[in-house]
Amino acid sequence: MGWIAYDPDLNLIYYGTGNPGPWNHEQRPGDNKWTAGIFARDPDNGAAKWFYQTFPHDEHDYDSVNEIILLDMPVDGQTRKVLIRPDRNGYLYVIDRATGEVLSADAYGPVNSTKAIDLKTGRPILNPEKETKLGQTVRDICPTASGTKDWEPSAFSPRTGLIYVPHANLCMDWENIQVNYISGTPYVGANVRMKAGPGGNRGALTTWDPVKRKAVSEEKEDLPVWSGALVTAGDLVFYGTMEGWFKAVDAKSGELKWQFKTGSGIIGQPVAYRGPDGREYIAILSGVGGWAGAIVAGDLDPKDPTAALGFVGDVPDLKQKTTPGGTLYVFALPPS
Amino acid sequence: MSLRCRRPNRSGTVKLSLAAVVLAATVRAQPLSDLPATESGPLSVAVTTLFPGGGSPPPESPLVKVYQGNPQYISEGRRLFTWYNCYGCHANGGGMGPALMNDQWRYGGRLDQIYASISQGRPNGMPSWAGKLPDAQIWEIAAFVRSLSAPAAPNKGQTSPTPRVGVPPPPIPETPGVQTTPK
Repeated sequence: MGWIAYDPDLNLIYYGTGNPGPWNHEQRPGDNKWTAGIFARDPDNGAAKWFYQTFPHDEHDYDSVNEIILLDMPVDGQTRKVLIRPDRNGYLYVIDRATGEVLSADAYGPVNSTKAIDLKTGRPILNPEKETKLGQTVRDICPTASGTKDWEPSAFSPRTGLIYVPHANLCMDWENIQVNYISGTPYVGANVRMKAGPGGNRGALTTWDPVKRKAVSEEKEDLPVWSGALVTAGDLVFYGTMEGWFKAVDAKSGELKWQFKTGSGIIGQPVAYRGPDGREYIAILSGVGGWAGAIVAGDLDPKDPTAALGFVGDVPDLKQKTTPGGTLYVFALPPS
Repeated sequence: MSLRCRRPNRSGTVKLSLAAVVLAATVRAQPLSDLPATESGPLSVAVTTLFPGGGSPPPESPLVKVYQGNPQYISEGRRLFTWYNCYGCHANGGGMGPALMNDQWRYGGRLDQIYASISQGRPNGMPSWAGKLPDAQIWEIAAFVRSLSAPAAPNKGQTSPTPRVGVPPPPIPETPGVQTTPK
């Protein structure tokens, strides 16, 4: 389970659930209820108010743990209390957060595993050509198991009304394998190889207009963007790259305003705070790892594209671009 | 799916397994110091080249010559490597847990040392498979793991697979996604 969002007016907490196991979906028939979905719960007694399954019977490891952003914004001319979810499956959802009704779901990166989200039922319309199969390698499925984006959180600016979405641009080959449950061993059931998506850039920071339901701009990055984004009242968007660059871009124009090369790839979350001295600071943890950086952190072998559950396939060059690390960088803004 | 009906056990490996169980029981029953070196088996294999007082490592297990570089055992070991979920951590050699194809070994890269690592387990997540798998299967998996980074030249002393009486040749696994080299 990932992030939790809280609405004090509706008195509801929102969070997502993980994907069902094993990855070989042919071993687990049915909708696999309560996996890969969003819960709204009353925090006083824990009772569920609603549940929306973003991906019934997941076939591609599209779990539902990404961040949830709560906005009050116009939808078809009416102000609605919504939650925004840029999901692993490649769709950016706008959901009525009082009822769980899906108001819209638009692709924010390349998607071919599904054709659309059916807004009446809320269910994805699968592309039969990209359904995963036992003993057969299905090629070029977009997005990957790691998603158009993973857990790294987006940022919303009330000044611009825009959402800044750090994400990947990857596709994958997938073969289901019959898997035995053996206590103490991984229960996976698939061979996966990931690769760069259309265009070749493996990551991007996409600026998204949630009212117009479309991307405003896209800052392409060579490597998947695995750091969170932070947007400030000074209209700067901070994010990090897996090469180790910590960047600030203009929240309106997307123009690069500043960058600093840290000692290792960045998969951490930028933080802004006011210090006891009254000055404003921006902090970032630098230190590559996790699923995306496993090849460096775990010294994996780039000859095997299925290593790290397939992620090594799309970043075989990462050892040439960064090294392991673990440093907290804090930058002071000039005194006002 | 009738997964659990397709256990890869065969009569030959079961017999070897029983022999191993008897041996293990014998080992446990005696203080280690009383054991003749020949009975301590491959599990006494050294994982380091450093010995106190200038001692020497125990001799290589005679089973190394049986399994190392043998295509039949390597092929079967590869199938078992998937069957027993080894790929879940080690992928097809590249790892998420430790990589197995880069010829870097924390606990030794000799075939009997790899056998010992699989059998005994190792810290930080490697389970012990002793008593859970037939001994012969552990040797086959070790032979496959060793082959991932072994020189390509075949073992000169092993020109044909060692026949196992009464045992059919193992099926060649149909797993097109299992590759140890990138496309």
